[in-house]
Amino acid sequence: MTQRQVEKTFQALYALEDLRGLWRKTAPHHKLTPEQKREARALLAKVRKALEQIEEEI
Amino acid sequence: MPTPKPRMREELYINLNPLQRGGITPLEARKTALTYVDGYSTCDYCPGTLHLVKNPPISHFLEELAEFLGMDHAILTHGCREAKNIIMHAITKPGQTIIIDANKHYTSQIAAELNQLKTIEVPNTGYPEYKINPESYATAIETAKKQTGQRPALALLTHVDWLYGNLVDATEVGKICQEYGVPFLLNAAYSSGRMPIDGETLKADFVTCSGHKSWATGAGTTGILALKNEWKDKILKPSKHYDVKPLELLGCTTRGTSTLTLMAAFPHVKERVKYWSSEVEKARWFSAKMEAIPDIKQLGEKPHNHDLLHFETPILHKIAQKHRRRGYYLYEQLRKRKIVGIKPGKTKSFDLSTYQLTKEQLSYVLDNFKDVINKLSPKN
Repeated sequence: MTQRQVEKTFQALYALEDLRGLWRKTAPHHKLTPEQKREARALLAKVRKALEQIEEEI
Repeated sequence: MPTPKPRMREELYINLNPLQRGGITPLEARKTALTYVDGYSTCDYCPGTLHLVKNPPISHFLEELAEFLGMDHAILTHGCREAKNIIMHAITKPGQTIIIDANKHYTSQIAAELNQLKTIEVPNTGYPEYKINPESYATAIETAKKQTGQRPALALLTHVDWLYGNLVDATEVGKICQEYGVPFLLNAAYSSGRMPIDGETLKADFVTCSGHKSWATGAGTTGILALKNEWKDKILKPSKHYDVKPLELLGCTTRGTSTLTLMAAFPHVKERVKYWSSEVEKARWFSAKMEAIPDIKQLGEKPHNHDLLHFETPILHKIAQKHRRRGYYLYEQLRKRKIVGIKPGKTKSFDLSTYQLTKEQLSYVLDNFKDVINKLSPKN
């Protein structure tokens, strides 16, 4: 199942890159709108899910 | 070696650096850079040279690129300077004369020097606008003819210069070059990728571009050399020994991440050039607000036609005379306020870019310039 784990690793990295995009968009004060907060939470959930799936298969 | 400290300039600050604003990468480009980070990552299915690679679709991308620029062909180079050098090397001979403008990037002069070319300079109008008048190209071409008995081998125009952000009427220069039969090279490092460029309308023989300066591309450096059909044989002439390898490109150029990030950023670039007029409007708005601060004056053409702005700021320089940190106070004060991009030590005059910043972010910058002046100006 190594390929799946690698794919999930990229999935997590991409979701973190999306989050980085949010920090860029809202610099320098990062006052997130309610929609951006929802987006940030959804991205973090995506990262967590990918990490859990990687961990399950180790 | 320990893990490097992350560079968080774009995440934590408002970056005004005119060299960097047009090269800030979109999300797709950063994700692509993550996967294609290894050396020669473009070359898994190489048919012998970079511009023919079909997977990833580099050859198709180059066709789209040429069309986008209104030219017949486009190839990748390591940067805009390398593209200029390739052109000079391919189409001129040592000892020949070329025309360049006074607002040129230093690499235009260096490329001419490397290729042993003489240069005749089109002057600018001097303080405060430093404009290049297109009709001066006709005078310079006449001078070259008088001095050498021949037409110059090339005329190079810096479409937008790096210091004042002046946009020159390239159509007019193209027309003059065509009338005289002089090949026309448009250095579009600060224009293409930010604003629409149509080489056909501009009558350009060559358009050179900078991926990292104006095409939202990082992960190394990239340039674009776009050309008209009639120059294809000279620019893409194959090596005598390896017929798939273009001689002027030393076979292949950008063999890795930067090519892929340029490709990934291309849809974003195609979209953003549509909004160029609002970028110009925003730059003019910012310039007017800066000039409303006493003793600040925008240099370069007015009304301005580009996001790169140069300000003369005696009021900030006056503070530097008495400040314990001298000229470095401005950089430090702005950095404390989460604003970067003004060169450390600069107070007399400096350039900045408003490109792709929101009016809200720019208002914050304006408020902080005012705040620094109010707090630090000598009281007498």
